[in-house]
Amino acid sequence: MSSHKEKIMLIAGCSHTGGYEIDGTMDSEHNRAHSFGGLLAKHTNRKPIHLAAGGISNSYILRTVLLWFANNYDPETQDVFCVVGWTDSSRWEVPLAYGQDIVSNNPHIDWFPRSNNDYLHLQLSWIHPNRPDFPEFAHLEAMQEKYHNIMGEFPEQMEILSFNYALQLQSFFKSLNVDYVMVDTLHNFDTHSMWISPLASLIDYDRYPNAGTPSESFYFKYREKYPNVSRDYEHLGAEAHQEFFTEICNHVIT
Amino acid sequence: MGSEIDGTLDSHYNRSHSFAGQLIKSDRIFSDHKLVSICVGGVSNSFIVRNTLLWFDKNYDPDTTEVFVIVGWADSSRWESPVLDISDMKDDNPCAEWIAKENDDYLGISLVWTHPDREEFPEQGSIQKTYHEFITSFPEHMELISLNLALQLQWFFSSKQIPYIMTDTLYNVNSENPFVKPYINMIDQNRYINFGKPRDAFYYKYESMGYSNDDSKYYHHGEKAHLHYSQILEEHILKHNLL
Repeated sequence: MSSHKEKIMLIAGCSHTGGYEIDGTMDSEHNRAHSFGGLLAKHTNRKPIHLAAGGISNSYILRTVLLWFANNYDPETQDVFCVVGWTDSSRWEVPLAYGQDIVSNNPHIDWFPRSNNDYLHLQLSWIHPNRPDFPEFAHLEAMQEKYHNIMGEFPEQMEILSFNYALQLQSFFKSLNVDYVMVDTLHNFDTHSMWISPLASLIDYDRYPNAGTPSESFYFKYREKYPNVSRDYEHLGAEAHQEFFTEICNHVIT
Repeated sequence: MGSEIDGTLDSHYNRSHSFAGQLIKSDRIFSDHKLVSICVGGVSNSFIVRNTLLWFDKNYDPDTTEVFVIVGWADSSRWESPVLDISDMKDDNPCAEWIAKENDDYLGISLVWTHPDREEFPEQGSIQKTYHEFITSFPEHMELISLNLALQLQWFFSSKQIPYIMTDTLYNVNSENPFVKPYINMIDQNRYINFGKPRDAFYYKYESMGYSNDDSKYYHHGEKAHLHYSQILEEHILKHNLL
């Protein structure tokens, strides 16, 4: 019966999962096709649906996958395998209708919920400047400072949030009987943490290889092996994606 | 957990006369279920999820145990900060049937009170200040955190085919929050009674109906409110066949 269903590879994550800068540009069809998720789609003869976007947080990744399923999934006609590349747990987002335009910055996204534009994406390394021309955005810097205080002072809290997102998505997939694989592309959480370790046994490691081992995450594992492929924003190149794809294949594809 | 039903914060009487304790006595629904009350006073929704997951991890055997879960969500403005060995939950909640020891490694954060400074832990004040600034500035974000915790537990239960019912006891998530709206259809509203309606949360519902508890110092309802709410839950479970 399943052979009559449309076979889909849903690929969610940040720019590392999107294959950004493989060809030197941030986002392109070539990059996505040669990312580890794109290679996995080709290898398994599945239609890739790319959801990955640059600079976003794990809460964005979680929400986008959930919304894709809420708006698109039909188990009668679709056979979905989901690849989730978790990003750095220190990233976060502010619920704020700031007028962002994710798609224009990530033109090769295949599906995008408009509500994702209602979040301002935060990283510790940069700050969105105040916009005094708009009263509601005139104090963005002070607002971000409150977020940065939590992100910077309590990295363990950020890891706990991301760990729960992973458990949430794991249970979601299992409740729908959807196949998936999760990987870390940057530092997500560490299962040696006092706060993660009591719950670490809840992770399905068969579906989340190297969960909680930051040194095994995509970027940190390959950045020294492939030192010459790092571009403007420290993304890895085609060889690293190919090797990570092989690693994932060996782990989950039988 | 029925705090202050009998005037004390925690007692076996309170727990057995809480809405969950009353519900479990319903012979229209349950035959021989035993109450395992793992509620703890003053905690956040993240505590509730963690303690529930740890209970299942350490106690649940689907071959020998049939479990029905009643989850009463707390106020979404509560949070917690990971801090090693900062509290003694069991000491403060002596009648809880089970509390994971790992829960002692969190400092509970609530807007309505502040842990006083302690000589052995001088950072306590500044930690709470940072969290309080965040919580008061971004209530919509706190709702999103609690919404995701509810979804996490919902799918945990459904993936294991464990029947449950959820309800809000305080202000949790408001479905009018524009950032909540995209998620609303994901919630199984048969199993989450009055989702997104803060005025129907246990505490506010009975406050508006004029129920009072003369024995309460900390705004907890008495036995009558708990009994009435247990009857509402009972009817809801029967109507929607939630067992």
